[in-house]
Amino acid sequence: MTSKISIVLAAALVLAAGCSKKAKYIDPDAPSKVEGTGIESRDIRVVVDEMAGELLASTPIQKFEGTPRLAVMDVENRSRFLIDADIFTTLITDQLIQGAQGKMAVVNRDLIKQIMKERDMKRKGEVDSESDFKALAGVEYFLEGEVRSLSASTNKNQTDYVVIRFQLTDAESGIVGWSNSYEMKKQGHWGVMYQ
Amino acid sequence: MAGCGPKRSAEADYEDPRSAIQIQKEVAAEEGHNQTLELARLASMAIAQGEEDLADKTLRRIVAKMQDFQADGQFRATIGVESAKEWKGDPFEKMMAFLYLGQILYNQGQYGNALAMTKSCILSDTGTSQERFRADFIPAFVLQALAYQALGEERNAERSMQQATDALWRRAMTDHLSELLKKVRIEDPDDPDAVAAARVLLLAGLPAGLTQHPRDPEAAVNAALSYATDLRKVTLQSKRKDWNGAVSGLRKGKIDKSFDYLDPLAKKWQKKVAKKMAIETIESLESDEAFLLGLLEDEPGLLLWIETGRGPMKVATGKYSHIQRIVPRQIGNVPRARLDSQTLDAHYLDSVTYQAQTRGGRVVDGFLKGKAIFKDSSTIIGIALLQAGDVANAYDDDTVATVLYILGAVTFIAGVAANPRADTRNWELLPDALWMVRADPAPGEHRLTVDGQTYTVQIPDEGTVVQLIPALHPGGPESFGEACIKCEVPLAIPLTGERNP
Repeated sequence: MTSKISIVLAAALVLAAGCSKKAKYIDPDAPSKVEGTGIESRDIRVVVDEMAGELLASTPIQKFEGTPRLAVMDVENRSRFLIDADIFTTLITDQLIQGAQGKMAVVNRDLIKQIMKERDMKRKGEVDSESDFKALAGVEYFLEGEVRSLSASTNKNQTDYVVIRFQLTDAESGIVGWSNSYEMKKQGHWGVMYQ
Repeated sequence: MAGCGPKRSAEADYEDPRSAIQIQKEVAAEEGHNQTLELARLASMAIAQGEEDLADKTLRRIVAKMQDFQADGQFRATIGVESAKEWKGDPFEKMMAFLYLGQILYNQGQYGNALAMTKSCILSDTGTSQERFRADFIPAFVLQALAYQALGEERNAERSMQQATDALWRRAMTDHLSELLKKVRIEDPDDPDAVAAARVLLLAGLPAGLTQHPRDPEAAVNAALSYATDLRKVTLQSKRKDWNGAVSGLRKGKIDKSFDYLDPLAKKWQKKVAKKMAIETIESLESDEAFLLGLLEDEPGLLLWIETGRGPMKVATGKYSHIQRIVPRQIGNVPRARLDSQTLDAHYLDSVTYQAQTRGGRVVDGFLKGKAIFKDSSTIIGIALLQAGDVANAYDDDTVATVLYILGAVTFIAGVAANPRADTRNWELLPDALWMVRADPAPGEHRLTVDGQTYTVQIPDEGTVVQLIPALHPGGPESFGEACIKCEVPLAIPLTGERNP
């Protein structure tokens, strides 16, 4: 009898577990349960950390007299994966601003229309201003990024070689003063039933 | 567990006033091994209803699942009914999911991601074969060319469009040359099975030959002979488990003896090649080629992807219903399209049914637990051994692999005999034929009719309006395009008709 009750209780627990919450917090650096060969959150975090750190330590930034200003451009996707390019630009902007500690400035070009409108209204006296009128900030550098991939597939396996590359271009001369790539290669194996 | 899902019953559905799409949303929300299939059906319905946001979100989920190597129910499916595994779609279904999402992303101006989807689509196509044949799904190359052009990468756009036109020729030439090879006869051969093996090897080499020479049948036959000779040599030197799928059903001795017949067969084949394709076929190919190349040279004002017919069905056949065969359902006719009073020419791009039934241009007779059975080569035992070989290949140790290989074959055959039924789950809302139509109307409002369905199209001052007209009722949004700002005088014929119910 006791064993029957135990079985019923165990079954109830299993059922209850099935109805428990299905979403939970997980470490963004932890391996995902969804197993693709594409770019995952941990790849993005590693890329952003590496790129921001190396860019701040790069010669053009370190040797610049004064505070260099930089515009972060959209990351171009040329891979075979769906990518929200804004994730890269947002995170790298955060890392650069925090890491630079005022030794480098990031210029926001996304809000250029709103900025121009606000400036116009201030100059017309339609809205007041606590600060002096000044020219829009020009940039010394453009930071561009791109994602490319090379893929191969058979019935059994799939491999994806992904390169995420950033480069810093002098906005005056067009010379690329710094660049760096993050490479990764992943292989997936289709289960027997999917070959 | 059943209590955790949405509460539905047949009676509740019957009385529910909500639209079919609302009900399908609930069905697709239920977790299980069919969830991705239900999402695929929902995506088709959303496209048909013109609900682009819903289609976008749904297709993103589908694509993620299709690319996920994690899958439930694989062990159950190996020893039991195949449909117990999580549905991820066959290659043609994956290709359509990537294509649909690519088309939506293109229309949203996300050209980089649209391009990404065309690349995944092409990989799904090529990835279906053990041979390195070039993909032949023309709409993917066309969309890729358009995406590259939108990104300002002209050379890549031209290259992709060239791949699309090459595929057009390759498809037609494959049919033509395969038919000619069938007619080649060797008089009173000593070993008819060796002749058959030689024929299989040459057919296996044909797609590779046409990849190199899509417009030159003589050169393609020569290249096919070269490939066939190499394939024979490689096959004889390798273990059966490593054999190319095209020859998996052949006996090693016959492959060996096929050497005596490869050259004579190829020579006779070459003589038949002198007989040209029908002139109307060549003219049609040239017209379609000019149309596609023209899309890059002279951007159209209106570009329509039009679907017609119904996609293929999967049926279970064979003694134990253990072979999945793909059969046509409703062949797509040429769409009748008119813009205002002008009749528009429709150009054929591809057939989903054709894509489902072929691998790199070779006709597949059926699928046994995921393995292609080519019409001219394989046997059940050959496929069973292949399947077992895959199990064994998961292990690096050769001895373990060999033991597993033998055990795997036994297990697999036993599995087929015990739980034979093939997986026939189907994304049945797919179309059959895919067409493309262009028009160059003046900016402003226009009236478009496609197979009796009426649409209002807004042509902007500049740029191209690109729209998918799905085969599924009600055929997409009633109106689309972008308003013309500079239009001071109405240039178009005003709308007079009502949209068909």
